[in-house]
Amino acid sequence: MKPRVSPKDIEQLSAHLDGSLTEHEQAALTARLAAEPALAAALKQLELTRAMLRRAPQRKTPRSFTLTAAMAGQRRGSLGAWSGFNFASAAASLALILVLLTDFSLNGLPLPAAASGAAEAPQVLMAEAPEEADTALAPEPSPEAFTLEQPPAADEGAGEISAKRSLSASEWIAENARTLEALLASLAVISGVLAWHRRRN
Amino acid sequence: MNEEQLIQAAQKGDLDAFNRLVISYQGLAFNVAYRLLGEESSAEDATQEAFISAYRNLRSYHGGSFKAWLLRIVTNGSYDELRRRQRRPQVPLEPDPIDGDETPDPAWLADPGETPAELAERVELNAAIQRCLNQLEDEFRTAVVLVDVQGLEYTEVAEVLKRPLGTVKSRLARARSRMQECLQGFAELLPEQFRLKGEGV
Repeated sequence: MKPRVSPKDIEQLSAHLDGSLTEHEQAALTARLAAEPALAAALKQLELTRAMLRRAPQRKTPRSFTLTAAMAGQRRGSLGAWSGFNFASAAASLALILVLLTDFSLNGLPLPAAASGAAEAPQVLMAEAPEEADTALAPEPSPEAFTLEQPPAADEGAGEISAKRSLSASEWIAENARTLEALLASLAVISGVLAWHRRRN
Repeated sequence: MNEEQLIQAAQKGDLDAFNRLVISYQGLAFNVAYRLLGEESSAEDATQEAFISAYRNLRSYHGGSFKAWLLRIVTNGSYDELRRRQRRPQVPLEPDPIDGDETPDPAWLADPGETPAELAERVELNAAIQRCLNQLEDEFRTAVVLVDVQGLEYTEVAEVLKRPLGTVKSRLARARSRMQECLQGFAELLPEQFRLKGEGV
């Protein structure tokens, strides 16, 4: 059985190749190399490996890596974009809080104006319908008759629209609070998720 | 201006002076990143990021080997990229140059005056070396790349790795030994003079 070359021996042989042994270490190793063929063979192989690595071709640089003023002075483009997202996230959250506060202060607990208006509408129609039936003493209105009665309702709608145009900013916010809240909450969530995703990477 | 003067000027914000340093070291930086990462586009990104980071952190350089300081940034950036890859393993679209039938594009290896056979040998040698380097742990790979492929001194490598000289020597010895074992597996692909014979050490 051939003698094994220990890791310590390999370390010495490696240092010997690079000429980094002390004089004393060098003398001791030289004596061993003369007496131990396995150690001499190991040195030969290590030498060959090193020669091969030294022959590894150098790759040409594919381009110049010199810095432009923008590269030197600014954060990376992608990072800047992410910073924008972080800012958007904070701004959207702040705006959401403001809208919620305005909504609550004007309407109390959040029953949306549009929803409450929609809930009242059928009651108005129901209240008006019997009155018309009484005055006309007519049988149940046909679908055509019902259709003919639509224009006045449309006029009322037009009146509401013109009234809405004169709403103040805070009333407008209260009126559209649910939509704004949904939009801002979505933006805040998306920005938050994107910022979290970036931090993970 | 010599290197020290260029560094001082760059520390005061002179981008042109810094870019002269970039031109001096970009070949080395790119080749180190390429050997650590084994892939050109990642090496390109790592090199560019390293120079940007070096410029922004130039004030933290307080003398010593500028080359070692810069290569430390390059190696750290390359380790970060390797860690990112481990978190998200990617399957290459192209076949493995060793396992598959195709050889890598040899254009960058072409040397005027070289015969096709010599070029083929160099391509195979390069592919075998890179394949074996990829199998080493990060610091072993860095030690062997810096000393054997790039020809740095032990002391410079100790600065790059921030390890004592003894640790560098032992890692280099083990890395060389592991490279030798690995390269034996590619004996038929290697040039005649590099075919390692006999038992491993």
